[in-house]
Amino acid sequence: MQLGDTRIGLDAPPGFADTGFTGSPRLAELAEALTSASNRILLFAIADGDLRRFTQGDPLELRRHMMVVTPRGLERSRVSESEFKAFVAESLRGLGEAPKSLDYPRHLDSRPTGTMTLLAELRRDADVVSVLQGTRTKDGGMFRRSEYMLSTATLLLVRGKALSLSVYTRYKDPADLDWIRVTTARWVEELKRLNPR
Amino acid sequence: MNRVVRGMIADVVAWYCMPALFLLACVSRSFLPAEAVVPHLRVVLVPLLGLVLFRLVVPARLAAALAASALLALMAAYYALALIGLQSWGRVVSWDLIRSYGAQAPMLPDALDISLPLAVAAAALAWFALLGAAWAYLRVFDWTALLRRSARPPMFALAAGAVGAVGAIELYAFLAAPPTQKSEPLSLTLRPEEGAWDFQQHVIGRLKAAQLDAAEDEARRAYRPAASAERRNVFLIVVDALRPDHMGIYGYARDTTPNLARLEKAGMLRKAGMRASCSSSFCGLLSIAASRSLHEFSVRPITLHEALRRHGYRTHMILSGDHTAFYGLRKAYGELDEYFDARVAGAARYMNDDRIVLERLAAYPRWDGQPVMIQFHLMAAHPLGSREGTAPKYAPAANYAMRRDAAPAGGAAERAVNFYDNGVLHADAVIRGILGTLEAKGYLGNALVAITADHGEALGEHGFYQHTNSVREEMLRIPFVLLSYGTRAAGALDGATLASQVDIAPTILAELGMPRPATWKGAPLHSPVARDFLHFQERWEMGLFDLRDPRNVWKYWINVKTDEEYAFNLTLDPAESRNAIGAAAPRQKRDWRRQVLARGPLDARRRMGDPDEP
Repeated sequence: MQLGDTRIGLDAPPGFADTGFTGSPRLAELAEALTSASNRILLFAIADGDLRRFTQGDPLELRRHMMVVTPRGLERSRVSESEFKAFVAESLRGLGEAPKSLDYPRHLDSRPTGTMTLLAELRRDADVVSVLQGTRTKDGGMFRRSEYMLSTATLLLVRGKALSLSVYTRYKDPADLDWIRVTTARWVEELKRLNPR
Repeated sequence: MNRVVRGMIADVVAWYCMPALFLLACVSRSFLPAEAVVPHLRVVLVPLLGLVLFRLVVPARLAAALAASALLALMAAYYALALIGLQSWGRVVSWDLIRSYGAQAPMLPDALDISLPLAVAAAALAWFALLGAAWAYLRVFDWTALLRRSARPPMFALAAGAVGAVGAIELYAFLAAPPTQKSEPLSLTLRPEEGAWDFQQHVIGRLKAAQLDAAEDEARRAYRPAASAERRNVFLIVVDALRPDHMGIYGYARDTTPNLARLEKAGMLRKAGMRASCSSSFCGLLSIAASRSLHEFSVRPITLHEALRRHGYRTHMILSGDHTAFYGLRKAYGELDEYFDARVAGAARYMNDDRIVLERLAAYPRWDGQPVMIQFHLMAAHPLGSREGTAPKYAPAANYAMRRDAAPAGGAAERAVNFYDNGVLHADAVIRGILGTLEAKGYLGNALVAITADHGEALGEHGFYQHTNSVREEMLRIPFVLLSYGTRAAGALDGATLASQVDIAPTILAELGMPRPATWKGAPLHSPVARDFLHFQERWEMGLFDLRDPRNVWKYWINVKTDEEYAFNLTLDPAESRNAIGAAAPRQKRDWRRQVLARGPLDARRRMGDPDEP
């Protein structure tokens, strides 16, 4: 992937497929709807099974997906560590404090539906900052549980470029929480390995 | 008590009038098998029992009349839709299609050339007539009031409970095991996929399908993409119901294809005439995609799209019309990188308006260098298609969508032809729009564009209008046009005595230097095609083109329901004006029959008492 004068290596984690290879305008529109217009989408990956269902004509379920974007404003410029720090501060501003309790569903239940809430900070280095967020997507009723979505937002400085990695999963049980933590950590390491300084 | 029994009998007789007429029409015209009758009569019992229960519980006659008229109106509307479906495309209308067209009800009268206020007024009038009839009927025959007066309360409650229980049991039986195997129409409406391969005689036994699919999988494994293939972009434009003899570039007196004529003048266009495998969309589209006639269909055939994907192509479809709701057509297309039809587009436009295609294509990004195959489907020439955006040139014109099997009278044929030609003109304009957009976005630098049809269209010839109702030449003849961009067009498409729809995919692959999958039945049209027979079928009519003597091409078919046979020497009588079956030698007839039986769909073989078929 060429970003200005820099070439960045990007790869989707195992089990996920880069939708860019399909050239599908519907998937491109979906990706655009999931991020701000001020970002350039570098990769939008969905689970292999979801992509297969989509290509066979079934409705897209999108239980898990991931995306890499870069701010259009910084796309062509070389980002220094201090600029990256400012970018991180700007991006994470207003997220609030992470809860002390690890009972995330209960915490999300206390927040309004649809509000993205900071759940934990996963990593903070000079070139990587990663946070876990969550939102209640649908209120449960008397007989049904609420539905939740977990996501990680990772800001990454590689080869002088500021990237934002997002991983999303629907939350049904703690296994989803483990999955998103592990997948994010491995993906970040893989991207760092693909893009040595 | 006698009056109660008489009333009950009257209820049953009155209630079953409409279903009986419907079933009579369906079975007598072979739309449905006789085994569908009893299951359908059982289904219809459920609303009758519901209505009786309602009348037992609610004594007001007006309420009973309202409920009865509402149910009868629903029943009439459903039967009308079911008959339209069976007559138009050989299948009971599906719930998906009802919803799809229902959502577009305000736009439909316009497409059919019917006045919306008039249609609403007629529907309202019909309902009031039903209401009046129900009221009058209940005044004379209502037995529930009598029962209410004469029976003791426990007995009355017991009767009401029994009616409710029988109704509930029947409803449960229907929902738990819908009689789709017996072709009961309502069950097929709710579960169209269970009957999809049975209607239109797309009959493939499970065993046969398994054998065919095993062969497909073997061919799939053996298929090796060609490293030297020329990866030009491919665009396949299928114009629904387009017949070549109404296109200016095929010598029609009217200039209905000015855009294509310009391209022909520029030396970019090659063309061939060919025959479709049938006169309906489902099998026509699959014959194009999978290079086979319908008696050779399997569940997972290798398609043109799949072969191109194996060569690194992205495969996209942008289709006018709702193919998702059309009995699983979307599923039959197989794996695609992008699929867009009127269902995906939403209700912003009438579903058969080709502007859906143009608008979607306009939103495409510039070509990024990866080879792409896009299939388009246009409805411009179809009687249900919209022609918005192109001024009608030929008048007087009238939509013939409501006309099917009627001899042209009082200038009807002329109006239908004018209407159809305006549609062809519109299709040409839409094609110009598609090519213009593709060119502007950089897709046509080095590309191949194929234009064809799923089937032809009858415009009053032989007493037919539209398609799916016969195998006459006007319904089977389709065009095949190849446009070459970026590379000089080479090689005439004249290899076959009679080209077939199944040759389209092999010809496209040959143009690109790609091998053809082993299970494909067609052949590239650039070189001589060795073929003795070409098979076709539509509903009960199945037959062949006999190509053994290229100077005397014969067309033979048999209606397996009526046993009527037809034979025409197409070389001498291309318009099929005189049935020459009587003049054919008995040996010749036997030979044709044997060929049809040997290759024809299993269902027809069974009906004709083929000893090989259980």
